[in-house]
Amino acid sequence: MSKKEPAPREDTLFMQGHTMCAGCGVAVAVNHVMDILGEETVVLFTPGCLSAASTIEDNYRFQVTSAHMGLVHAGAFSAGVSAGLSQQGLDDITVAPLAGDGATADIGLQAVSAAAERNDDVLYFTMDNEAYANTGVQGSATTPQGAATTTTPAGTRAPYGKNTGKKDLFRIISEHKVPYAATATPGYQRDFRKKVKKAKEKDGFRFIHMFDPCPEGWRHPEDKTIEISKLAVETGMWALAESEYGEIELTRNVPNREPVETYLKLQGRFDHLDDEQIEVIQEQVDEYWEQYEEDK
Amino acid sequence: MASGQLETESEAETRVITGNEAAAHGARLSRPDVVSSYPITPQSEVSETMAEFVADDRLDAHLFRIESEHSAMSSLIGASLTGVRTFTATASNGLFYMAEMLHFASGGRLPIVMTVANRATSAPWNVWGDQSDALSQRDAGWLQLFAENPQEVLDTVIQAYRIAEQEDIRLPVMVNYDGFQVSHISEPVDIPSQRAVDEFLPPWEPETSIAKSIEENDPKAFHHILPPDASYMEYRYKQATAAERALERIETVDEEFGEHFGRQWGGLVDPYRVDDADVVLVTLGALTTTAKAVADSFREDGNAVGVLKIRSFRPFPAAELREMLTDVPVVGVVEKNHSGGREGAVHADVAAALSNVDGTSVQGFVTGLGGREVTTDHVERMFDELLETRDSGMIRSETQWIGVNK
Repeated sequence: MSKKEPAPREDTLFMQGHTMCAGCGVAVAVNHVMDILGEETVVLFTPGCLSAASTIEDNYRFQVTSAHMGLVHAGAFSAGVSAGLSQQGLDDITVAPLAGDGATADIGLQAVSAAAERNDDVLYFTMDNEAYANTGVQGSATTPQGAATTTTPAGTRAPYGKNTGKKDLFRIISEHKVPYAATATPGYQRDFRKKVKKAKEKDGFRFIHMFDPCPEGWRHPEDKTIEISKLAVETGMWALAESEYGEIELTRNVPNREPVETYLKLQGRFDHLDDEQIEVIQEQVDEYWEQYEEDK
Repeated sequence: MASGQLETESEAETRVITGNEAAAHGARLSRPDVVSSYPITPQSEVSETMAEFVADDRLDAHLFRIESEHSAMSSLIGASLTGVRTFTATASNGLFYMAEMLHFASGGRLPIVMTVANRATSAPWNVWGDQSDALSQRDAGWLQLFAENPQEVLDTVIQAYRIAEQEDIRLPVMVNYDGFQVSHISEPVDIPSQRAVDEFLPPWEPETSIAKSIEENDPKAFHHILPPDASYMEYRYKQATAAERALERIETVDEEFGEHFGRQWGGLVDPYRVDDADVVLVTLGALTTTAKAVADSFREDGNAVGVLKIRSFRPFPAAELREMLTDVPVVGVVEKNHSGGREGAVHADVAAALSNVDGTSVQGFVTGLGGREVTTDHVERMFDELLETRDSGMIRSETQWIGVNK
């Protein structure tokens, strides 16, 4: 298909002028994502911070074509875009849903799972800030145990705030035996960018679960975003890994994990936890890694 | 924008097929690029037949083995937004499950075509036919056409794309037909040749689409956020005027179809012995056939009765109804639907359309719910009741349930 002379675009495809919070992990992540995916990309938003901060009225802050989806159906909607483009010979366009954690792990899980099972040609990003941040930081399936959100407040009957653990999206999607799945976080830029690049070069269903700190929702200082992102990995709260057709490999080994307390203490959402509760979370993290070693 | 060449170019033939198969043939001949439907009684045969067409290379389409109706509609919204023709089918629970996306499709001005084999709603559980499913989605912004028999189903699917895709309309179309009474009834159906349909229905070439924005290197944001002071309300206004334009388009397309294929269905409404009637029964779908037969026998007995089939429920042909029913003193409306706490949806709309017509009364009949058979006896009771109203000048009951064991 012949192309017109490209319109001049700014240096970044996700441009200045969006209204994401200072220190937003999602904004950092999306900058990397767009830089690597390039102009031959269609991005698709679930309702959330990113779309609200970059697609209102005339303040459109992306320099690629996009569409705003509903909350429930990113897997199916994006698969449809991909199929429609493919039917017109536009197979080289990357179709990239940028979905929130609630839109993926809660209300949209069915559609994501189905797209993964069908191996639809989509590069699916979950921007996980561990809550419904845009609507006021309500708890989601990826909110970790011990975090207080506006719908999982800590109280005498709920000493932990949220009292169940984080849904492991990466493992769930990997078990669909998709061509590629990975976890990433902006604190490890090279690892992050390598994974996006790798995913872009493959066909079929690809999934990147991005762990993106949220100063507003997690109640940490704006300048601590990258530090918290790194600490999540160094304490073992977040594993950097990738999988091809279900074979999971760590991309960063952390032989001597920092105590989880150093991660938890930086964030207001964990303020209510006492030493005993922190010890319980530490034990859970330790068990996770023991299990991981056993599974290998 | 079909990209591939089909291995076979089908010739015209007459075959005995079901309403469901007729829907699938209509869709096949319209050459959708993306097909996505989730099985549900009584339409499953449509999904199965479409899958066979694609598997046998009789249709060059991307076929989704989709996991739900919500995703079926969602995948078609995504595909349609790229500028390709799309098709799905559903019924009842499936239609309700995709309800959120019905509004998304119409608001996004996407000319998706969907057949609905109309079925009752649960609970109590019931898979048989009535019209409660489609009529409950009256306000979803879709054009809603109702077909009476398998041939009309096939023809209306093809017409639907030609209506939907006109640039100043760009609205999705729901082609409805009675579950079981049409979906599972086999009749001889004329299946036109691919060439004839291609001539009638050229590829869809939208002015805006994701593919177009990519090809023209002109990035666009689709469905972006419009707060109260932005142009959201203007979008809705344009959508409303597009639906009004569809009134004329539905008529024109049916006439053009007649010129091409030698058959047409009345456009918005199909009047039967209405001209000199003083009692007219307004119908929707397969019941029309029964009503016409009963009207004939009443005519033989010297009663001036007629039948008016509504083919387009949305947009609603209010002006046509006013024109045809102005001199009719008694109008009845029969539907396989009831809006709890008030009359049925069709009754309400007919009454509203005739509210400024002096000397015309409207009363409704609710019947055939959950697949309950509607016999000629039942329709005779409706005409008797309407004639009684004419003679006495009194309506005994605004809404009567016919065929219910009280």
